[in-house]
Amino acid sequence: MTDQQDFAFDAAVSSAYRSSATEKVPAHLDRLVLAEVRRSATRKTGVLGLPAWLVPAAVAAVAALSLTLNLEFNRPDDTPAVQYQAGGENRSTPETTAGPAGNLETAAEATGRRLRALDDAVSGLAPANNSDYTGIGDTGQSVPAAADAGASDRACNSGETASAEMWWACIQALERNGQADDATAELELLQTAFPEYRLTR
Amino acid sequence: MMGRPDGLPAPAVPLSQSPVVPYSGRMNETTEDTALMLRYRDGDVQAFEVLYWRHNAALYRYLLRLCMNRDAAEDIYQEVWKKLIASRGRYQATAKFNTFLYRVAHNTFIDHARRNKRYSSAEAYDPDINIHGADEPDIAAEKILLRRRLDQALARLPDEQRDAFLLHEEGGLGLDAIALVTGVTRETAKSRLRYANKKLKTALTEPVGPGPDSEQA
Repeated sequence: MTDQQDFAFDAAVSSAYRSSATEKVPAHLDRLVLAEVRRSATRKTGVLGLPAWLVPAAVAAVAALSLTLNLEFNRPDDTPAVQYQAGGENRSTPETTAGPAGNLETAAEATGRRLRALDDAVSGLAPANNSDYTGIGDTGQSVPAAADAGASDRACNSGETASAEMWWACIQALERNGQADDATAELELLQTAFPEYRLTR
Repeated sequence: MMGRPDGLPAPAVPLSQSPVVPYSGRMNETTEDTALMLRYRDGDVQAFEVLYWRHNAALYRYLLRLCMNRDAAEDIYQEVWKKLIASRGRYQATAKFNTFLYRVAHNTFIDHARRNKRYSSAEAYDPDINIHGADEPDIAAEKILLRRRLDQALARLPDEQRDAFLLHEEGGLGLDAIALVTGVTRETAKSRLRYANKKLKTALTEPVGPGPDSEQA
């Protein structure tokens, strides 16, 4: 059945309506719509109706991020050499990482150098004269009363050079006692053996 | 009133004497409209402009008399076309273009009505009374009177009946398409359209008295 057979459509009403409904679209509406159409032509749509620039930008961002992460995690271990202090503290200051000649040295090299300095210092201890002075000797200088057996002509014996602090205390005692030359010699040895040690007064 | 020898249009036949004639709509343009929309989807802007000029006036009048408010009608009109433009990438020829267009218009009207709740205001709608500037004054006056009576009768119709009538008249939609657009069954759409026509005919055939028009339900 067609629409016309379903009900008796009254053409009079339609005719009356068509004769009266003659409005035109206002010009400004036409302009607005047509402008929107032309704008849509320049605005390309990409995947899923998203702006066309969005997908390439997203791909580029993901690629850049992946490259950055890859380089970060696969970077070779090129951490600079650091020198460890006697107490195991790690310092990276130039003065602590530089050796006596001012060039960088590894921790092993620094330890070896200190050990050699200590060996040199210890090897200077000669058992010829006891360091057990009780008073003013022939030199007219006061010397520490306590002395180890086999002490040499070193102002600070091996017991006093066991640690940097004790060694420095010995050097200060020598200075107070007027033994400037001995103090200077011992200070040089101390700074050779313990270059990271900070002297405190 | 008699026909005029100078070629001016004769006055309208009295409504009570009008015959029942089959309705002929714009059915031959529907497939072409779909093709144009598909071309627009593929990037042909001029195809959309052809569609626009073909349907803009009817859509405007549909919204104008549906809203009974000129400002609301213009807002919805713009919104409808913007929706069509925005959806061109997703358009699929699952229905005739007319049906698609008026479905968008109908839904946009519903959304607007829910947001504003002031669409049905006959006082806000002032129909254009300058119908034909070339008409003789008596013909023009008759047309103005007819239009006023029709618009008043349309305003008094329930919204659903007015919507069905306008979809039929302006959109050229059949019962199935009206049912699809309004989301009702075919029988409901048919009933609405029948009652709308009946009421409008009653309003238009009533004699015009000196006082305000009296409409029978």
